[in-house]
Amino acid sequence: MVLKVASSGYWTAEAAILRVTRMPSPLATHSMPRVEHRSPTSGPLLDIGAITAFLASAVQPSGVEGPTVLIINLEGRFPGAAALYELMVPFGRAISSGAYGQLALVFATPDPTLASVIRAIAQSVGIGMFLAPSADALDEAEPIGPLTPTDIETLEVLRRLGGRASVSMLAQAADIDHKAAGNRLTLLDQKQLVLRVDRSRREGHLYLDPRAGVEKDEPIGPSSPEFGVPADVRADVKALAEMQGREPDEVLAEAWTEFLRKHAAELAREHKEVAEMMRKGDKASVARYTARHSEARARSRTRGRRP
Amino acid sequence: MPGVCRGGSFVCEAGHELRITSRCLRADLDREPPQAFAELAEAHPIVHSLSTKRDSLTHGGKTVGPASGARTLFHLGQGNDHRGATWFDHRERVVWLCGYRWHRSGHAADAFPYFHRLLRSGEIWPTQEDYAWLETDHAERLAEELPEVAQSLLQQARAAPNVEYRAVIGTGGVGLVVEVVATLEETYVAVRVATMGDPTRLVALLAAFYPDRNFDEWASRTRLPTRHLGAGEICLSILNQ
Repeated sequence: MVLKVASSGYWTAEAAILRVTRMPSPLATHSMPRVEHRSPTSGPLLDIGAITAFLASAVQPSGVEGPTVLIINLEGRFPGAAALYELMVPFGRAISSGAYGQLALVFATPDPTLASVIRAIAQSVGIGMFLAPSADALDEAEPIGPLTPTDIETLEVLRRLGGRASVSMLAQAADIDHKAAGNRLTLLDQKQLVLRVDRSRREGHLYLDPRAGVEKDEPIGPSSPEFGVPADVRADVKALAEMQGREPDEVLAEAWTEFLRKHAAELAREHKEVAEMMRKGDKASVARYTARHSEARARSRTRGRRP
Repeated sequence: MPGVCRGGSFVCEAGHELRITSRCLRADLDREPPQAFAELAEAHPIVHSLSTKRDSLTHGGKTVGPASGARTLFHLGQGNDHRGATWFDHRERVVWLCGYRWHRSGHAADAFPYFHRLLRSGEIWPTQEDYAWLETDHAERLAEELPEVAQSLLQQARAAPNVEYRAVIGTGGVGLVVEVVATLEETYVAVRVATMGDPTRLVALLAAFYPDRNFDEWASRTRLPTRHLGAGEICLSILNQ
């Protein structure tokens, strides 16, 4: 299922099954950044060769397919100075150069001394990244590196917007002109502190706060109303619901109602076929019908597993 | 071993499922997927161990490789010889047996160096093939239960008008949450949208309730006769004939 925001501002849902043409949208829905975790071997980290090998295995040379947040967990790891430099600087520069695509880097450590050293290195070599108190606390991550007060303010506005905004949305939210908003986001993009989703000139690029990244395997209880909703759709619903000041499950239900109204004719045709299967007691055909999107759903479950 | 074997899964009473990845089946257990879990549990000690040690707890005491949040692999042992690596997939609520080998400390073919190699290469995780197989199993379970559960729910609702009856159709992570209220004039069906997955389930559900009626006879409703809709619910009704 693909969820989009219609020009009137409410949600519509679209199913690939129906092969309907996508409607124009001022904010075509994009997934929030995917979160990937990598952990060097625990204990002392002194072997530069091992760090190099770890980084080589952490990200494929071809880079990432979509906006991705890479969390390097240093909890229980004790890097020496040279190892920490190797971990942060060449890799951080490669990310800043765009060599890996839209990838943001987060170091996670609860150790305040190590955190101070990471801040100092990021500042001194001019690499933008994030620092989190633990690998499970991405939303608490602080941006570090060559940040100006304007950068920090812009990141806060982006966060208030649900972690995703176009230039015009930022301009409106920060009460600044369009050009200034564009400059602010471009600077953050150059520092790799936001992730950019390229879109047409008419729509304008979309900028994502890495801290709004979605865990691929985000735990959800079966009693949760969001249980069963694909992670990317859930993130889209959540982000847009925040912007609209509504509850995500309310937005999702409205999307389904709109979907049923819009595609009644297609659904009626399918219903006729399935009802015939039911009358004949043909459970195998019913199973094939409800499994017709299994390949697509299976793809979505493994997408972005390795950056 | 509280649970039941269904297709490639062992569906635990605790609500999660146990499954074996296709790579593990082929490379480690020398079986070609898809395979019924019941047969595997009888045939192999590590699968039996999976069904007895992960039925109530989704994780073990020791990790395989470093702890990595939701991506942590856990050690599964059976006696002195058999070792497995399991991962709890929170999203699907499935504990996957991701790897199996004999355990011989210090031997090149020992389980743990093997698991670490699979972990480094990324091969240890379930693949698209595994999730497609899972989806197919879920669809078969839903199709198996849907007609009987829908008709039973309908009979209950008709026998006691204006009383809400609830059912979770399907097992494990595929439960479709449905509430039915019958009045003298109409039957109301409310569905928790997050459990629908895609429109095929709703279409199949409505056809299971009234296979002789048309889709356009169902009307969208903003409430059940007994209450307002909860967040995340949609409701449809059909006139009784």
